[in-house]
Amino acid sequence: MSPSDSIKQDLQYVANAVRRRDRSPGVPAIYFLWAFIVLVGFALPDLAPKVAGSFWLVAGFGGGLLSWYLGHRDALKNGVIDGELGRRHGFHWLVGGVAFLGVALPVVMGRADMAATANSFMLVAALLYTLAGVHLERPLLWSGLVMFAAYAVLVVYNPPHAWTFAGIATAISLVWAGVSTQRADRASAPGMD
Amino acid sequence: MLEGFDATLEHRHRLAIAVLLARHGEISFARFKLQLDLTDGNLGAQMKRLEDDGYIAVRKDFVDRKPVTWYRLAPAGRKALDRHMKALRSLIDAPPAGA
Repeated sequence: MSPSDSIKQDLQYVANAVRRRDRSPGVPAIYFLWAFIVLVGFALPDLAPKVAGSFWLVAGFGGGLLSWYLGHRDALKNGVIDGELGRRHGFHWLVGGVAFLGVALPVVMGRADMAATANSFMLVAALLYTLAGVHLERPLLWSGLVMFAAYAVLVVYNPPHAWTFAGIATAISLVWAGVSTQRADRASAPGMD
Repeated sequence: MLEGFDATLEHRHRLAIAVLLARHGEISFARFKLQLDLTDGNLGAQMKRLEDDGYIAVRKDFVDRKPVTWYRLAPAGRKALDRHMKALRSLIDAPPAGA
């Protein structure tokens, strides 16, 4: 075998090894956590609009911190501590948090009412999840697209209990993402050493 | 050995280990075994060579009360990998002999 053939084979081996973990498959526990938060949080504008803002303030920060912990625990279990990827995730969701606060700001300052602003939260969430699906974790893409569809329904038709149904649909897509990731994880989980 | 190539990284398994560490940060022994489809003995030997050459740093830890060995690329390993990849690129970019 010529040196160039040998180098080609070596590079093919390296490329295959890298491709085996090219995209983070996501953390099932985080998907299940947010499925629950979304299910409750999206129903609140329909069922108890007065507590929706407080719920999202607490669940947003608390869920974010819990997601960070679950992500770290998953990294230890899977044997890959990717600091750069962790920073990308953190920055993505931090920007999302800032966007949500930006949407809430006119309401907090009394320059807009919640009813007129609520749909914008759905649009920001749809963008965040879709972009996370494109750049970070593919299973989130479907949740993002469900939210885009929910936004369109809210803006065009505004049927009764639209937020509740949007929450149910999004929660189902997140549970599905969690289950499919869990199956993929079981097939590739390392032992300990 | 080809010009500019690093003797340690000329081995495909050690090159893959260095590339994966450069890409992901810290990786456990068990994950490497799965990722590279190597036996304990073979992987251990490659790791020892990289460690002896100062290319990787080792950290022992416990996860769920079980021992885990973590590896990350040391500065010397990163420099060697950069040099090796540069040499590889030069070889790939070079016109074929007789052209």
